[in-house]
Amino acid sequence: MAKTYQYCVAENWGKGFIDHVESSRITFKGYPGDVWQVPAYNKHGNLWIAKVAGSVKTRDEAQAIVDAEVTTAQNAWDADNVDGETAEQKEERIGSRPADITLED
Amino acid sequence: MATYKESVGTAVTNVAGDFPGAADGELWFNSTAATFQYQYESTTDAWSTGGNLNLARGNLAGAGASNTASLAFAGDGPTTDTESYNGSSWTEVNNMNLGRFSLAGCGTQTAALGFGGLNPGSSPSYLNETESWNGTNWTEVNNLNRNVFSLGGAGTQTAALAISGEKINPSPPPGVVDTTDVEQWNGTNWTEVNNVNTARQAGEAAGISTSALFFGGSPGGSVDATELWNGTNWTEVNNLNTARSALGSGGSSNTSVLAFGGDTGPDQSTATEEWNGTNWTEKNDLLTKTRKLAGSGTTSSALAFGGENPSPTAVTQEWNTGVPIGAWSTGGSLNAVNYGSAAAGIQTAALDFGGLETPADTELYDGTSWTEVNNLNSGRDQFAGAGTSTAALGFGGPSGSALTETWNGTNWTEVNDLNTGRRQLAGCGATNTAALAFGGESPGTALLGVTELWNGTNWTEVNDLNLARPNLAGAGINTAALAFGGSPGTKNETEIWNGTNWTEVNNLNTGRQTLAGCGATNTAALAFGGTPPTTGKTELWNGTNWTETSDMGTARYSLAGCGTNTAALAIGGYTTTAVSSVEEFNDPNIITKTLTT
Repeated sequence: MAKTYQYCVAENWGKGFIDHVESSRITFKGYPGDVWQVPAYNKHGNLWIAKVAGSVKTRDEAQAIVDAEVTTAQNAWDADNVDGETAEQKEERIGSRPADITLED
Repeated sequence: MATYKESVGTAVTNVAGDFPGAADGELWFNSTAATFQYQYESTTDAWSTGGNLNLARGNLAGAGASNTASLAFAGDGPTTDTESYNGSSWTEVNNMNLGRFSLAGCGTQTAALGFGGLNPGSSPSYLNETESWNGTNWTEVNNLNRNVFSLGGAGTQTAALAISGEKINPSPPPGVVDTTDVEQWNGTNWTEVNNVNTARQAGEAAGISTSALFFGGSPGGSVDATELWNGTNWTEVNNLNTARSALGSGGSSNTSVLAFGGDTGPDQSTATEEWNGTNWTEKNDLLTKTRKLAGSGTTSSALAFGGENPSPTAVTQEWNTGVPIGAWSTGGSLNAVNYGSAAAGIQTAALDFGGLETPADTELYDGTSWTEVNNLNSGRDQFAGAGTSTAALGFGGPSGSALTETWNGTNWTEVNDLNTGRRQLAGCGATNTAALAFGGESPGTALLGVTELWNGTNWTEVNDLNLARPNLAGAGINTAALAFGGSPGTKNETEIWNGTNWTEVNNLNTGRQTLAGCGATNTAALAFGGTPPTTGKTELWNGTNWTETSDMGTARYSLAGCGTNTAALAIGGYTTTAVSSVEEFNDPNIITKTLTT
């Protein structure tokens, strides 16, 4: 089956990285580790990747980058404890534990 | 009462009908219809990236009137860092006096207020300190009446609200508790006012001190609860669509708020919702899932900055409305429901012929209504059409028909057959003397890539499509055509015809079959409708790529299409039943409204 999305790694430099016209034309999704998802087989997506000098990744490569980032954040969350604090209190203090992310094909 | 001329500076223009040259919102008198009318361009809204913060952090506060003038201050660390945004980049300015996170903020880029929050190094760690920003420096002013963090804030530097949050329990046993307390700032002191109904932390607030909204938050789990402040009391109103805490917002009153991002408990959120005084409506999502972010601005010009995704981030996202976009509107309906027909012509002079429900019927559209005209000689469906409303061609059909008929504006006449009979093919062409037939399926389910060229007398075989397929759509003319979509399953393949060969180019964003297409050339086309699933999705082709634009009002397949990429017609089709409805696409889309009393 043909893939629906393509992935790249590109550091968000800020203004102009994704402009509002690009954003209105295709759907961008940003993930941890500077991973970006755009539609596959789409010239707008290809042009944007070229514009931002994105490093194209397969879904599995992108997934590995995201997993590493999420694991780091989960480890930091796990290590952030206060004596006597309940799980509910911890969530109230620092938010919920970062969830695993599964990239789409 | 002031006259229109006194208010606007010009008199109302008198025009017999529409007024294409009118500016957005300009009123004119339609002397033909005896009505006052105005027009405006259809637009959409979108997030884009802004300049990154210099210091990545979550649990910061923000202030600002728009996405070109905002302030970010404090945050995890805790930090005193303060940055100012000019629409492009953040600049470090003078810091707060007391580092803190999970504070509240409000005001503008040059006149802001920061209050409450948490600093583990302070005693007590929960803060009641308030600081005021004059555009250059932060100054300590009078404290809140309670020590509180993770609270909501709304208002201005001189008239603000400190809402709910988590405070130190004033009575034994020692500990902290979510509070319903609300305090109002008059520029000098904080005064306790009526409480919110639901105590929570990490709720978000927007508006002013006399007209505010408090929403989301976490009283032990993310909630969707929304409360409205009228200057005296809090009233529970309709909930957010996505329950969450630690979100951001922009807004000017209790009738105009944009909420974005946050923590849904299991995950972070990109959800963006707009409050209109009564309900929350889902809007286009943030580019990146973010929680513990800050927001500023309004529903038309907002800024989302900082937060966690899930690590601390410096990302800034700008919300803009008013991005021009094409749109579909209703046209005159066919005289009978129909699907599987063919069409020719333009949006204001179109011909629809054949189809499964009315196999031989031909109807003529004048831009407003359809008129029945003379029938095809051989009724059929699953065929293709080309040409104009006064010079059309119909070819192919069920059971692998090779039949070709030509329309002279009055009658259909049988002419020479296709060399390869077929159904579910596509076609295009500017007239009934120069057309192209391509793709389709012959009985026995052989998929065809066969392409034939019509010169007004005969069909001649030319080079095949690269991907043989039926149920595709076409656009263009006999020397510059486009083929896209198809079956089996859903195809998103697109091929471009240069008069000699087909070349594969960039695909549709959404693969589909039994869609419709139109366009005057192979560099400017429109694809719309199709299945499965049945869709109203519409994509614009600019010669290089397909771009999604506004969906049709009614998702449908086996419809007919004609016109151009800027003025198209979607005719009939099948939803869960055959339909007679017709839609008109315009890009740019000028919507004309009539004033009513």
